[in-house]
Amino acid sequence: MSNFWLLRNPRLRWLLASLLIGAAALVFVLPLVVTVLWSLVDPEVGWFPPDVVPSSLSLANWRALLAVPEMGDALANSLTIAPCVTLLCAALGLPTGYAIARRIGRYRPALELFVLTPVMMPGVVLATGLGAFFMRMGLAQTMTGVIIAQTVVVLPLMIRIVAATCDAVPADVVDSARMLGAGPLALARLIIVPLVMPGLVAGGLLCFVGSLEEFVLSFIVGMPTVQTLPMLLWAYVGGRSSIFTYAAVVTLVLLVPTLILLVVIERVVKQEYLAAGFGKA
Amino acid sequence: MLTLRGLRKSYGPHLAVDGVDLEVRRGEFVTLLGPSGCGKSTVLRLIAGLLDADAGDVAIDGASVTAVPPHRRHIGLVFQSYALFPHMTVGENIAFGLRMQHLPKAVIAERVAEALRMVELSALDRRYPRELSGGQQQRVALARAVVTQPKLLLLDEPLSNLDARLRDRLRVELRELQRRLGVTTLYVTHDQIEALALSDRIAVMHAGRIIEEGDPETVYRRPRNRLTAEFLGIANLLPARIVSVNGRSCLAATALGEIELPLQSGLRPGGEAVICLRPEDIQLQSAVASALRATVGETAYLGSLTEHLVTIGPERQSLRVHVPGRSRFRAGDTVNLVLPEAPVLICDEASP
Amino acid sequence: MSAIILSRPAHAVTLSPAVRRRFETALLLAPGAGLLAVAMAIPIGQLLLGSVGLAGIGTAGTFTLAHYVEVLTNPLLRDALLFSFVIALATATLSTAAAAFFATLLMIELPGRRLLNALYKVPLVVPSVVAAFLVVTMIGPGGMAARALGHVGLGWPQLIHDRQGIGVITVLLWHYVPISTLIVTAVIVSVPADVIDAARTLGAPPRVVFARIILPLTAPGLSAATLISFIDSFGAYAIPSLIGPPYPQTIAVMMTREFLRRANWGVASALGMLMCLTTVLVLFFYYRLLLRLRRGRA
Repeated sequence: MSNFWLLRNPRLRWLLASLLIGAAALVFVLPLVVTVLWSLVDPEVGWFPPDVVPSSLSLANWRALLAVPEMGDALANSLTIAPCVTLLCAALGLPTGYAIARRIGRYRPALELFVLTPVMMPGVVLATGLGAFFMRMGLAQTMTGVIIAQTVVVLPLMIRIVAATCDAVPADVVDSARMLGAGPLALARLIIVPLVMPGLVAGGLLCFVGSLEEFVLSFIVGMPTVQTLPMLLWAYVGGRSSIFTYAAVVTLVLLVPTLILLVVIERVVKQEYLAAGFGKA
Repeated sequence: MLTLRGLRKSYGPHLAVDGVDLEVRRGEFVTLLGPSGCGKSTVLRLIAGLLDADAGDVAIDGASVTAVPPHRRHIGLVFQSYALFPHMTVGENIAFGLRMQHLPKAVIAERVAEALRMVELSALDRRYPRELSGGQQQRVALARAVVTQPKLLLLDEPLSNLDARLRDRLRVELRELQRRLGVTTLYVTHDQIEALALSDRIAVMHAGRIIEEGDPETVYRRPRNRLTAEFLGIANLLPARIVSVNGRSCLAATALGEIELPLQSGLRPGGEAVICLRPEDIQLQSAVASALRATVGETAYLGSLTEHLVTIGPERQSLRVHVPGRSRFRAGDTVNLVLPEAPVLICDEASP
Repeated sequence: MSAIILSRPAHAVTLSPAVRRRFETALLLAPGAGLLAVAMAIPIGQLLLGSVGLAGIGTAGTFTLAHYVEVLTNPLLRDALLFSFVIALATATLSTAAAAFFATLLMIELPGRRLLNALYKVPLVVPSVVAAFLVVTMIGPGGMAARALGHVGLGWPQLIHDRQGIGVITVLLWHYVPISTLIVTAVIVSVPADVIDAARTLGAPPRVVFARIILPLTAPGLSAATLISFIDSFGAYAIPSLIGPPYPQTIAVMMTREFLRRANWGVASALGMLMCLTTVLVLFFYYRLLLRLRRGRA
């Protein structure tokens, strides 16, 4: 595959490489740079066309992050909800993922498809249906409601990753522990959890980020009382008004952990886990 | 001490174990020998409780264990893949079973040290399994299984993943260990040399059933079954038709001409049977006018013996013959065959 | 020791081991799979009931098909359905084609390949709302592209809030090309190298290797990527709500508007059921296609 006739010429390769990297930079990196600039725009002066670079910079918008109540609230909410969702997913995903990998044999394909269904369903459908139900239950516009709603779309990811990790644990190892006298609890505590831990960590990271970024369900269930960062961003990008400076700040706050996660994933987690777990954003 | 009665297990349409009965006495070393897919590993897992039988019973010391979960059966199991816990050191691996028995720490430490000495791996107790060689891992697996002093030791082709030399060495060590500990052992393998070398008794399995049982010499020298003969060592199977019966012997027509054989029950004139000749039982002599004349074909020098493929008779049936050391015969030579006095006769009717 | 271990107290419940295992398995599956089952049954049940006028919020409601009638006769909604469909189709086909192209490109040993590999995955962790923001700042009416061209005296076309939905498609592509490329790369890599080598030693030129071996073997994975981007784009909310045109709107936007702003629960539910139906139909045809592909392979 690497010996395409066109590309034996090293100069052509360099040309192609620089073209591609240039394009990638333009499409993936430049927008982030622009965002950083927007976040640093001096609110007194603004940044209007035809200026390609803001004329004056300030940290006022960043200070607003903590000063403006709704921004501080959204930050607090997101950072409270995400760990709860992650823990819930770990607690629910571990037994389910293990059962899928080791206990259900020929029903596995059907169950795996079932587990993926919340991710495949259109988000609005889940959101409005769940939202309406929560309204009747009094869970709408509560943190609990948002946590539950987010767990529904983030849990499938965790389950798939746990199942994939359990596949990598040789059945013989688990069986030998049983022969040596380990009952179900000892087996889980001493053998399965330690060996599945890498998957749990990877899944936990992805769940955390998934929760931070989740929009549709949080929006429909939480609006307007419980606001998460993505919901706030939506408001600033035109959902409610158009405040690019604030939007830029929220974007960066949302992006920093996720970009770090990307680097970590690229280094640590295997390619197959990513392709197996990802369905929707 | 171990009794299997009527064990049956299917995987969907495939019947893996089809009515297995077996008795193993205390301290005995019994091998389940058979080709891949014959169900021997399945039997082992049924005994261990890792699989549930569709029918039949497993009893240890007279009491049925069918309802007992595997972690309470107190059985040691050594896997082909060693199955060491990758996240624990060698010492922790061996200690695991003792921990599950809730023994005091001092006792555990002592027993682990003793087990390590027994398999000569004392220096490696802090290492992780991935740092060990195959042979070392297998020894750890063995130590881990026996340190809990199980009533029954099961071994599932433990030497298959090792190279030939290591296999030989570990085989000897295994036998010594078992003798020293005196633990009742059930061993599963497809390697007939292991079966012959290690066992007090061999049970030959085929297609989910035990087709023959006996001590190694009996099973090897006097197989009652065509499949057994073919599986254990090299067997020259000569079709024979009984011509006449005369007191305690009979005359059989074969490709080698008419041979006199000791009579076995069930043989009648006109009946069909198979003569089983082991390659080392046939001797070659320089050709002299005789009925048992053969031509030497492909010859291979195998170090401790020479193997000749000799062809006999008008149908050019070939037999494999082993001559110790270097043979004086070469391909193309004409030789005489000297058959053993009492060749083994297998009646096809008896073969399942 | 043996006596203690083997004897069981006479009063213990003796379930057969098989039954006990099944019970344990159900117990293990219950929390996770159970939650998901409930969490999907409830919304669908709600929507189903709501679409026929029952299970309203605050009232019990009465059975009626009026909502469906309204949904199906309303030209606004027909246009919305069409619009959503077109956007989804465009996104799916373009992203898969681009993904196939880029995946192949990435297999070439180029300098800076590792950098490229990392760069193209950036959108994977960028949520759709952020993507919408980035696109607005770049190619919106007051965006960087417009400003840069404005310096040179050139105009910049209306790319967001446009009737053709180009802005929406662009953002969706920005999002789904990387995911599809990831899936396609994984699928291509999964083709065993010996199979390709065998073909080459048997004299197949690269284009034949691609068409006869790589394409058929990767088709199921490719179609999965296409399917994902189609279904997601069809039901997308965040992006169309922010940079879609005022008319037509996508079906998800309409549905949310009916629910949140106009408290029109019945109509919103009917719309939701229509969306579900469309998704199920698409999945069904995809499944049939997959079967045919598999059969063709065998």
